[in-house]
Amino acid sequence: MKILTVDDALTVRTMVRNILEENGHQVEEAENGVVAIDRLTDEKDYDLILLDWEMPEMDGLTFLTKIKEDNVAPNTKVVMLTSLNKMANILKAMDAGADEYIMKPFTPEIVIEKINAIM
Amino acid sequence: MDIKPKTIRKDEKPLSDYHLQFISSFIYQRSGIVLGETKRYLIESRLKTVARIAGLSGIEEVCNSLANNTSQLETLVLDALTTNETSWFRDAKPWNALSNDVLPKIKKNKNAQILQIWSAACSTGQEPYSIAIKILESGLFNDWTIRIVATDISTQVLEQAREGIYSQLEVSRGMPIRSLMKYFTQVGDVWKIKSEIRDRVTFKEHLLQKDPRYLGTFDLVFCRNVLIYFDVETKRKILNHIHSALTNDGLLALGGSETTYNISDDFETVPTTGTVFYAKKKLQHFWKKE
Repeated sequence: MKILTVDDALTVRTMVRNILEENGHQVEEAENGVVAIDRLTDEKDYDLILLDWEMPEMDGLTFLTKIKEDNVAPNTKVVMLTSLNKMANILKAMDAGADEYIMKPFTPEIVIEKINAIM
Repeated sequence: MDIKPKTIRKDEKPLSDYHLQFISSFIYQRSGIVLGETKRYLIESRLKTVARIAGLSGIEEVCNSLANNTSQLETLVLDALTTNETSWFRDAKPWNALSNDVLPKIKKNKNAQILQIWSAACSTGQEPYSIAIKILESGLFNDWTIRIVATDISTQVLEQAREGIYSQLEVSRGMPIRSLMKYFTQVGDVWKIKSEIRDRVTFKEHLLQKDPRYLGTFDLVFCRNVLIYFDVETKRKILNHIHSALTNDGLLALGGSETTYNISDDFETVPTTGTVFYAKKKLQHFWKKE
């Protein structure tokens, strides 16, 4: 699968990339929502986006809301990957159109299992 | 964007005595698990995997970064070095088969409206609660009596199972987020399973080598990823006990790498979508009907 990982923390992007690549996926990166929008404008064929919430410039929820409103990449699944772990956060993200929600800290198995479950 | 590529470095330094001690101490402080010299190879190989995933140069950098207290790395290291195989809906196939094949067929063929299930070696409760969720979500047994008995030898794990309280990491293993939202309440940093699920499961202390008939008879027995820990004689004894606890139409679910072949002749396979269950042999049970 072709996956876009959106996170402002390089360490997280690196871990996610390595986990996904070890499982045979192709990975691209963006460090915030604005960069991710640019990526989606250039290439619409991502199967999945792994999306952090708290990021500078454009946060994950704003990004998610925008791509759903503008119907950008309607076939791309979105999985939140965030340290915001309160039920209220989860509800907000799922209402905005997220397909799954992974709470940080995560393990490689959790990332792969959650992705496999929705794809 | 410059990203450290995942590479397998042949020149990675081996685990030094200093780092072995550091990691052993770290694991003991966080989990109470004692890892020592006898686990050196396991620690070294798993820490190398962690280093590769985290984009670090090797074990030394993992230890240095742990000393700087990064919670994500801590989770990776703890997960890699402490065996935790308990998860919700562990392995997709038997759970899909339960929903798509097994439960509908029981509903269709069983006359008495009582469904009895035994989760053997239930550990901290993820399996019996997963069963309870699947039964509830099937919508097939709303007017049936449901009895789910979950057993384990450890009183400690049974205590946690009865409470139904799980850490964030525990609920993340296998539980879809929509099910988490539906069946759990968040209490501070932990998640508590709702009483509508918790009250459907009865937990009891039980040793698998003992005769289980006092627990009742069961339409389904889940004994998954348990037999692998026993020698053949003990496996045979456990399978005999399970056989005696199954109804004539009862089914046994084993783990993906487990089988009754060459251990017990009393079972035959019942194929379902993507996996097999085991039924009592030589009986005209309804699994043989179309």
